[in-house]
Amino acid sequence: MIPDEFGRVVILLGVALAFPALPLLVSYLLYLFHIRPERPDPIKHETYECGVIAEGGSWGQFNARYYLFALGFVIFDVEVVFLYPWAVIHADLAATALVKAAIFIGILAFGLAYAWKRGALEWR
Amino acid sequence: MTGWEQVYHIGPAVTLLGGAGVVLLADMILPRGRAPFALLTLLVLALAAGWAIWHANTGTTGPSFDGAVVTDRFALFFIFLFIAATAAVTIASTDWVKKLDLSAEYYALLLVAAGSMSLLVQGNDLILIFVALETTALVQYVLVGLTRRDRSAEAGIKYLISGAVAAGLMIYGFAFLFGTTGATSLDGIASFVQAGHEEARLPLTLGFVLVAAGFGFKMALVPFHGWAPDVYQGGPTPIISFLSVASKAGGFAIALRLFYTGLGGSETFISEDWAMMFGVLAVASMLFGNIAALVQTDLRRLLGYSSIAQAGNIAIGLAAVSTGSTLGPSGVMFFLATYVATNLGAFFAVIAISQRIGSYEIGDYAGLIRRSPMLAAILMLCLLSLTGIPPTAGFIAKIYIFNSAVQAGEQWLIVLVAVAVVNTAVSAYYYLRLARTMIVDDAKDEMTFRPTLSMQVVLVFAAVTVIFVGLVPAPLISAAQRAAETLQIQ
Repeated sequence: MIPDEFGRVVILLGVALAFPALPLLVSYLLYLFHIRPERPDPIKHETYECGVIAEGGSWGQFNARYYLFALGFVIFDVEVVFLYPWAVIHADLAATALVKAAIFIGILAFGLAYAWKRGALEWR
Repeated sequence: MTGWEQVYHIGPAVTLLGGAGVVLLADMILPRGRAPFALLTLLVLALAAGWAIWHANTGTTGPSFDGAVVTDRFALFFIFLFIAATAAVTIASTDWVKKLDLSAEYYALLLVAAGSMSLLVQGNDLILIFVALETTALVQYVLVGLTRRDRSAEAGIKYLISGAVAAGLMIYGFAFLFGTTGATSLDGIASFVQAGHEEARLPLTLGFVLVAAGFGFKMALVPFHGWAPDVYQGGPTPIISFLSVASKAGGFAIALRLFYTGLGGSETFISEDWAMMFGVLAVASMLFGNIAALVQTDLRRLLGYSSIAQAGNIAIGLAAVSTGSTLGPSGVMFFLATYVATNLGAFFAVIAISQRIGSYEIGDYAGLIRRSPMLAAILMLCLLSLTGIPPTAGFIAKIYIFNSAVQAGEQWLIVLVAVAVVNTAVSAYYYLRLARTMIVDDAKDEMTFRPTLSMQVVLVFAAVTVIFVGLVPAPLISAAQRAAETLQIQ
């Protein structure tokens, strides 16, 4: 019997749960039957960060300025997401589509100008 | 209809949102913080009100943007309400804003809030409703945390987090409604429900319960009220005065639109279900709000719990809409209109008093009638109206909304009204205790004072509205009834 769409989601859920659980279970079984050695080491318990040695606690504070830049970036990122489909089909659209895109960019440009004027783009 | 003609239908919202940009532009061009922002804001509000009046007179009602937006009397009623509340808060907060170095941002955010709420009440599509509701909410989170002092920042964060949870529940509910009916437009959902798909009762019920959770957060209905007392106490009081009326009115407006129009009117197989749900929420809010308010010593917290209890009163109107008449919806609208005037009046009086005596403790209000007769008198009038004692607007509003439930003739609605009447008696204790403190107790300090001129203007206006609507309620009631009629599905 082929399951329906939600049935497949349930199967995927089972696989997703089994995928991380299985290696842990196998490792534990190997340890239980004394097949794998047990040699605890503090280094084994450290945070793995792509091979770079982790520095400081994870609750360290960041300068709020980073968030301003990140926000500014996200806004223009989203602008590009919206303008891509528009650019692909804009030849088929009426001339008003150009004006509408211009209004959209204009609102964002106004926001940027405002942030600039208020000194949000300066590193203080 | 071309794209540009449709913009005409959302004129008030566009004016308000564009006006916010103009306020910021003035701040960029003119020397920092020096432009007459309050005047500019009032001008924008006047323009938006003019546009809304134009709509009301020419009767250009009906759908636009492929049915996502409707310009009907219901929307216009609330747009006028939002514009009036924003204008009152703008005038009342002119003194407070002078101490803030963010005056342009403050007025711009107020205008964005008013604009997105205007769009919200015109919304006839789940997507537009969600976007408008979240734009409003986002602005309100920023406003609550605006002064960035400890309490204000804490209130802002609390409001943001609980608001995010509520938004998540609401969008999940929207997903259920869309998944069940295959439509995001309220008309599409309504025709599905009216077709009597009894087999879809469970997912529809899940959908509207989750949606009610999201809206209940805006209205501060128990059990979605947790943010209200803390935010009321911690946030800047002028902003809270705006929040307490505008957010509540927006929440009830969109609940009326979605449940009354969107779920296929009052004669469907699920209308009894959601009416009962609002009945339960109403009882819980009244009981919890009133009992918790009894033991408060901080006036802002007292008003917070009182706003929860009042939300329970208003929700009776939602519970009574399954009766088929427009008494329920128009009761909600009339109550909200009087509540805006009453609660703003009470809040402004508290702001004016507490700015002077530097305390929100009820005990420090002792003997206020001898120190500032005008402020004490207006605060007392508003407290009487919140209790529901004639000849104030609050009395008529309560009678009207209780009557709508009794007229429905269902037994559980009559029980609901009985609970509400008992609660009114309980609420009289804490409202009138404050009045007693102001009149009977001895003042610690005999120095007299008067509010500033701008404050006097809005206070007198609020007080006159409360009394006028209490004595001559007919025009406002007929406006609410005519507006509620456009909600009905033809």
